[in-house]
Amino acid sequence: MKHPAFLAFLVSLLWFLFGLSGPLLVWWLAAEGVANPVLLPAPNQVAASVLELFGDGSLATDIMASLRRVFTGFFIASTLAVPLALLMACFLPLRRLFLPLVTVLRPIPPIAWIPLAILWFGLGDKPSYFITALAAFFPIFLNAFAGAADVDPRHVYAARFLGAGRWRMVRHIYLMSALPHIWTGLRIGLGQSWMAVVTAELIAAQSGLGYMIQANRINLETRHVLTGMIVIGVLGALMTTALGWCEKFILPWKHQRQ
Amino acid sequence: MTANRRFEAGQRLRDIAAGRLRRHCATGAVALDDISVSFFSDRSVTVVSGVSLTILPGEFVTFLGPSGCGKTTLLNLIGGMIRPTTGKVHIDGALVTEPTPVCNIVFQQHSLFGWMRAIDNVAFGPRAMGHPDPRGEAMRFLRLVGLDNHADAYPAALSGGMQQRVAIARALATAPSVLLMDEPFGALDAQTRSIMQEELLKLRRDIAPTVIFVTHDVDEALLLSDRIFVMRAMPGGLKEEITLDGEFRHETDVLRNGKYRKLRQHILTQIREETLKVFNRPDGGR
Ligand SMILES: Nc1ncnc2c1ncn2[C@@H]1O[C@H](COP(=O)(O)OP(=O)(O)O)[C@@H](O)[C@H]1O
Ligand SMILES: [Mg+2]
Repeated sequence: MKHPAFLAFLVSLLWFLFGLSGPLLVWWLAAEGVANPVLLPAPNQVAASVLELFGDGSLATDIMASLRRVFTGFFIASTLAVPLALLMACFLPLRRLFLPLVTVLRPIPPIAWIPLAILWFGLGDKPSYFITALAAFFPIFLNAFAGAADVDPRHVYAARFLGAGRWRMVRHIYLMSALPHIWTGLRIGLGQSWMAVVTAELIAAQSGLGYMIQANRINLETRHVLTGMIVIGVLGALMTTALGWCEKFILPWKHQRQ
Repeated sequence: MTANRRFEAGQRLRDIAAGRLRRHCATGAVALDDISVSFFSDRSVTVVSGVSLTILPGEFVTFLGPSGCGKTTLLNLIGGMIRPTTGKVHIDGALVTEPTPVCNIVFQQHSLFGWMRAIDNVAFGPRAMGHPDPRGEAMRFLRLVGLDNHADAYPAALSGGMQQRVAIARALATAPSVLLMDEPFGALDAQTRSIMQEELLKLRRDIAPTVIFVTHDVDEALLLSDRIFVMRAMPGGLKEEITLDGEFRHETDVLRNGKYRKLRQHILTQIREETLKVFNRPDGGR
């Protein structure tokens, strides 16, 4: 019995690892050349660091702290951004009311909010929730708004001829025809949130991957810093891949086989 | 049938009362009263002017004319999608101001909700109208257009002809008094189009809303219609009215019919005149 999908997965995984092996080799040679583990530890030293940090449980704790902050912020951002975007796309008065604020707030990078976040929320989880939510909000909001504003007028007319009231129109026409855009926004938003959590933790937290990197930098434990960076990269890539797999459940009509 | 014959509503009503016409609908009377439409976006463009007409319940009326003569604009007016600059549209005595389930529409293509399966597209109306069994009702209409075995397909997985059949089922599922069709078969290949025309006529034996049909295809208009309005262009309006009472509907080989050929030639000449008007204007008829 054949498993074409599984085989295809295996092949693409092999290619993926193969693609990484070149840079890994370059890193190894460079580390040999530099011969200074504070400036550039070798891959085997970092591998040892990964085992060490996993072994004492600290890495798992940091990962969980960062993930919690990202998903909480991301959740807050999506529950605010999607409804707000849809309502603004559907109802002109709301659009007029909120668009100026959104336009002015959007160019401010999340990192610029960190001082305020610390003043308002102190240190710990709360300022990080604030920052991760902020980072995810704009990609989600802007994509959802563009999607809903771009709804095909024929769909709106058809729905009105079919007797749809306001709620049905927002829920089944605007939301659903914007869903591919919203999905894009969610994916970008999660990525932004993941990057922002590290920034927030560098400054405003006492745990998490960002904090771990910062603490180890001060102790000149560069191999731990690299471990932190690699974990961030791998987890970010895993999130992206997982979302890619979810897509056929979120947007089934884009994936139906004939 | 005579070209330019003034339509006599009184006679038609007597025919209906006497049961001489097959259709016997109580609703779906459409009245346009001195309609004009101008768009002020650029220079003030008058797209339609001085249109008055009455359509009887259950009638199949076609607007026939070249691209850009205002056919879609007229349909949008009747559906309430746009408001006339002057004049009024009434359906069954009620002023039309916005799209409501009194009418429904079939567009040329791609108007199905792509994120819903065929059955949910058709059930959308019954659901919105509070029907007790929307899926059952949707199935009934899908069966009517011969697509009950494709109920679970998403629109993208259906052929163009199938999509239009679903669109027709969706439009009929709320029992509109007036069905608007804007070149509904215009994007289909000739064979599919001809089958769809027959199917539409068959459907109308069971469900007989007033149909207002838009096309630039003379044969299609002659085959389907009770009445044809040949349109003039720039500004759009009615050039000529031709009453057929569906007399070519059941002919197997219309092109052998001398009367058909003469009428067809006459209409083609009329349309060509109007097409040249659009063609020769400075913006090339965009
Ligand atoms: N919203 C609009 N603004 C300006 N001009 C328009 C608008 N809608 C239609 N028109 C113009 O009105 C004319 C008639 O359009 P339309 O009714 O779509 O023609 P048809 O359906 O017969 O091809 C065209 O010349 C078109 O450019
Ligand atoms: Mg048109």
